[in-house]
Amino acid sequence: MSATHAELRAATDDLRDRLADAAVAVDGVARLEPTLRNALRRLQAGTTVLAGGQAARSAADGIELHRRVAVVDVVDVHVDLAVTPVRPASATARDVRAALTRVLRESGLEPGRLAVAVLSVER
Amino acid sequence: MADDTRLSCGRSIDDVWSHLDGAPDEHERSCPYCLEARARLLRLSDAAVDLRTSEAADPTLQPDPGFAASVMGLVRAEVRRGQAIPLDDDDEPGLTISEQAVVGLVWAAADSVPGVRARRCRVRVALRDDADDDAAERVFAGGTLVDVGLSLALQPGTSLVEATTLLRERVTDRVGEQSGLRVRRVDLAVEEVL
Repeated sequence: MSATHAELRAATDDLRDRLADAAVAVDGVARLEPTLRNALRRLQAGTTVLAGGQAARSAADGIELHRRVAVVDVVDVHVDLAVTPVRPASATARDVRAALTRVLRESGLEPGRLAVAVLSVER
Repeated sequence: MADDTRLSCGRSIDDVWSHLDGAPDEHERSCPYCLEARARLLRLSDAAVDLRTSEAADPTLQPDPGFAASVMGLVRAEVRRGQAIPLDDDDEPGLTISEQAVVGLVWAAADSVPGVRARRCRVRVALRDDADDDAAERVFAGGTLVDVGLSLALQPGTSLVEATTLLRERVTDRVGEQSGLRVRRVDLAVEEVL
């Protein structure tokens, strides 16, 4: 039986929060960084269910995800980060992408486009 | 150096905003950072005017002052962020770092060199020297290669050769250690002796 809109919305919110937690837990991540696009997305109330329940989009500070519900659920994620200079930003970004991939696979989802943008390096 | 409202040319985004209604001044006419910032701010200004006009009659649609301030903070941050530089050699790069973040590393490196004051800075992805214009190909060699351009002022009595040699080393080291990018070239222009 397919999920109702309410179930899809709740599951997507939960997934977004787990992805955000996994990203912040990576060594070298200072915080998720809100962006203007991100702030405007958040003006929408919570998660938006699209295409008659076949997709959902969700945003919180520094993270956006787009979930396409098909035979296999594919999830695109965009994360904006501030990092600390304890290690190269490229290594931190790679580990964040790996953490996103791990959380998605553990959730039975297929990673789609995973974008990690380092917006600042803290001093 | 750690002024988070500064564009890469050294001018504050608030300065650009303050006279957006008028013509660009002499510096702005020739500065790619200010021209880009003006273009972005003008688009934002036009959108804001449209919204304000359509919502002026409805007081319930007036934004909370705190929200407006946070949005303006985000606008300032995004306008000065510059291009996204790829961190990996994927065909479809998913890992990037903002030019402004790298400029911050260059300025920090310059601050550590006695007698040097950094000014405008530009960071660009290095392209193969032998590539055609139509097929510009970026170079990846254990990290994306970048070229850095930096203008600076020197304190009187500073040895030009020693200061610029040390500055090149520190820029290369700091950018490499803290971003994972590899610096191919550091072009320096001494604009002034203070």
